[in-house]
Amino acid sequence: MSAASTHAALTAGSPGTDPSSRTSSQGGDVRVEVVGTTRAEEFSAFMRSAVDPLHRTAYLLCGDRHRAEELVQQTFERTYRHWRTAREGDPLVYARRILANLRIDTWRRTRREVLGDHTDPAADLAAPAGAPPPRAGTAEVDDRDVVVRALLTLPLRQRRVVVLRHLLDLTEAEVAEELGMPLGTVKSTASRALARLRTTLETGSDR
Amino acid sequence: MNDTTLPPADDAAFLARLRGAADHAPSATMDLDASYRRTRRRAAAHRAGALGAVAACVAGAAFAMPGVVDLGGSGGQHHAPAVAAGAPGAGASGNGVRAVAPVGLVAQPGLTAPHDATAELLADGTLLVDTGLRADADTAIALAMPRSTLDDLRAPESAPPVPPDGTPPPGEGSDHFRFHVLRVDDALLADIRAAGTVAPWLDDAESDSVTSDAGDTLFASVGSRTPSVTIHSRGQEADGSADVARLDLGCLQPLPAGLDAEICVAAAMVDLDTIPRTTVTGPGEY
Repeated sequence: MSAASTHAALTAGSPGTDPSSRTSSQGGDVRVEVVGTTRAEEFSAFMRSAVDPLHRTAYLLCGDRHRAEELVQQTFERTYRHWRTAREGDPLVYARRILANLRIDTWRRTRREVLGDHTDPAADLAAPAGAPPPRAGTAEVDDRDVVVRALLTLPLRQRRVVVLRHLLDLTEAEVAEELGMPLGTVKSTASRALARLRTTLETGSDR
Repeated sequence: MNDTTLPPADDAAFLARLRGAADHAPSATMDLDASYRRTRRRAAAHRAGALGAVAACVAGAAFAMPGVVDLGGSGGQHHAPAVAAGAPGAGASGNGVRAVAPVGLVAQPGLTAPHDATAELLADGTLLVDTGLRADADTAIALAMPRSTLDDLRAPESAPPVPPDGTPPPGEGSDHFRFHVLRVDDALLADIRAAGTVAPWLDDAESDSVTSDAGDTLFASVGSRTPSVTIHSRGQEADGSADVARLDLGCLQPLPAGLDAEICVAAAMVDLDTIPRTTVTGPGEY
């Protein structure tokens, strides 16, 4: 998916009930038309189309579904406050930029209810000895879990770059723009992060 | 890595593995209707915070937005900036639905220092007011809410049920505090009752204690890991079922374990369509 040009079809109605909300795809690029007549209509439609890609990004950054939803909620709020600016371009890109720069890792230190506890993301990357083989169809999810936990071992800056560049498949230039980094920094950060990630994953699978 | 350079084969496999993780990321399960309401509410609170921090705290004027009452005085400064900055736990409930704006100071009897007061602007135009707890204070909170907001406050996935005997719910921190209502602002309460927005437990709060009556328990737990206090209150529906409301004051100083705080109902949730703007309390005016 090329996330850079994702856009939402903005139609009327409350965000959770209007089935007409859609994300259209043309040749790999997802495009959106702003057709709502009011800010509420536009933003509702935007939420419908953006919630999944934003949640995916948030989840990969933080490794926790509940925290991911909190991050998406914060992203919606900030985007809403700047909707006039966001809608001038691609609102999803605008929102993802907000999301990527949120304080991803502060949550566990401040929130009282930790619903998903990854106290040591690096631990137990490999299946425990004697564990039964995964059922058919679950291998991908299992591997996602391993990768996401390995991601959590990266410093946040490296994690942001890797997620945007290599998991969401943005170009280096897009990553640089979204994170406000020089292009060279993106490249060097990605290189170091991938090396570290590879080591972590290989170490985990050797256990 | 360069965009135009193909990676080695093993790199390609490794990168494909990473992308596979993205492909299998879990889908969002958010309630978008609720999320949208929350978004608008927080945006309104954000505006109120920006205005209120100046208007309410400095000039003592009412918020420059419809439906918000001015409680007078100063305070709330600690909450609003944190919320505006999106700080998790700052005025946020367990499921993150709270929005906080500064409203002013609520004086408490016997205190030499004011409490911070915050207000939560809810979707239905009402304003939930509470004050912060202080580690050195023996009086804690001014809080009220109308029945209509209990639904809004309900967070069933995070708020445990309140046992009938009023004991604290399990798993909510190691220290719990029972709040005894000492005094009620009768004039204000009368206004609220006239507006039909008083919650049952607040009605009962006119007695000297609410902690012994099922359905009227109000207590707080202090998290062992964070300096925040969570207030639980429970109302009682006509059919006997219980409402559990949750209010995380957030960003507060930790209270000493074992402290039994007292409660003064000094401010209230006000239906802004029916209640004129009112200065409720001020320093030393309780």
